[in-house]
Amino acid sequence: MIIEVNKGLKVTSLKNKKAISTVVSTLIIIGTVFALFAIIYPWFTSSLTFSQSSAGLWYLSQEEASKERIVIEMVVFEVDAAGNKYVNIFVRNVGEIDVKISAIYINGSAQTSVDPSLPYRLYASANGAVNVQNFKIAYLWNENEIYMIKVVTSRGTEAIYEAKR
Amino acid sequence: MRKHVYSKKGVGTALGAVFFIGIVLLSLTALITISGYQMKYFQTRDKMIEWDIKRMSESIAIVNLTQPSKKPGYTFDLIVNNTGGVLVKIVRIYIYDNKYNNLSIFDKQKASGEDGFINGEVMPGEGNHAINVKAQNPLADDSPYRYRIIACTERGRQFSFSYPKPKPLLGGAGGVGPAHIGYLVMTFNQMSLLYTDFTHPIITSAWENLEHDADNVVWHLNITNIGTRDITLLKESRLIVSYITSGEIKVSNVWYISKPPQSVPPGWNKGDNPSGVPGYTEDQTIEPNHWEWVAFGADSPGDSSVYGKKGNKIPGLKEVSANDVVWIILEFHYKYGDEYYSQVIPFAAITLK
Repeated sequence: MIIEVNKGLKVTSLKNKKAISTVVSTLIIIGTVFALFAIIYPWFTSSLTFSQSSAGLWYLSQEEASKERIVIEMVVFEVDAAGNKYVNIFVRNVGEIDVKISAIYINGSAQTSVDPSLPYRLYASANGAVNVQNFKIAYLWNENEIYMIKVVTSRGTEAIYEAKR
Repeated sequence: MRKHVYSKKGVGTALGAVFFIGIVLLSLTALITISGYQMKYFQTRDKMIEWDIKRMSESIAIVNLTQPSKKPGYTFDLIVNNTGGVLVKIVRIYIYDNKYNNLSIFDKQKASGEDGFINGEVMPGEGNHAINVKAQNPLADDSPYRYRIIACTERGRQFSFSYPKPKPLLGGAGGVGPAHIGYLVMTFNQMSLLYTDFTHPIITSAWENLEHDADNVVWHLNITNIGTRDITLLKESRLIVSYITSGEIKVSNVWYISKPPQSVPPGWNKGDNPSGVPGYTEDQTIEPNHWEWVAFGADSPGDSSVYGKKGNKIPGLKEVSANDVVWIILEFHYKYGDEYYSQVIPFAAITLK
């Protein structure tokens, strides 16, 4: 009888699908979920924060760039008493924020001999600051030739002017 | 109840739901934050687009410069019409002197008596608005277009004007002032259209000399450059005479431009101009606001010209009676700075009978 019972028990334990106890299985599930959560959550939050801050920076830079407006008001070709040739470029900041003039191109070539030197901070007129500046460039220009002058800010805003003496 | 407490079913679902809700909440927060940034950017962008539209709506016309200024203590007035739909504020005026390559800059006057300008705000639709400028010296009433005046607005637009404007050509006694399209005008004086034929003095009218049996002639003209750049006449420039015969108007031979003679009327002499002049080489430059003698006598562009009866006879002239000439047409082809122009100056021929 006992044997039968044992046999019966053995048969029963082999066929029993609930070999792991409820507590252990629950713990395993919880552990797995927490482990996954512990891995995914920091990654997710950091990437989300990164995306948020990147988007924030991008929109902020775009917003600031959209507030920038510069114009070239006047270009004067000059020869001094010693025969040195210069190009005077009058640039005005007509936008809402201060700009940084980072480059000046004449016929596509970046100018290095610029007075005042670049980059140059050109204030906005909002607070009554002087918002126009003459950039004097040593440049060997010729009479009756057309020169394409481009002034560029650090945020990529451009002002283009065609001039001829 | 008891069953629910001890049931292990749904634990994973609950945890998954919490996890999912957490992710959704974080995503939503991120979305809302980014949308906020985007919204702010769009607002700024729209505001600047509106600003650009206003900037493009600025339109003023500088119609005149009057000096002395009507306002005591100022040098000259810029007369401006606002033809746009927005208020225009002038912030700077540049005046460039083309003659001496000198730049003068005028900002808003800071104190009375200082150089600068006042009344720089022009209302939409306002006409004949005077911007009073105080300068050290008045602008010279010199050759046309000597000064380039550029008015700059607060929004970064520039509007230009040239001063002085060319004076309108006045009509002569009993006639109407000739209009011209181009930069050359013929200067009429007692020596205009004289010609040289080697044996005859040139102080007589060309048409009188025709009757002195001249075959080959070189016509002399006095022309003025009223532009602001140098003019170089091209060898295709010519003089054409039309005449009437048998009731029909015909065109005589043409005389192409010649090298200017060494001496010109009234000082013409045979020593300087033995029997003719070499072919024209497109090197005769007339400076702005200057006049030069020009000669026409070549048979074809660039040919040499011959005086009198020697050399290349140009038929057609002798056969034309001075009384039958109806039109003299001057066809000038020239280079104005870098640009090419053609200009025709026709005028009726009046002969003395």
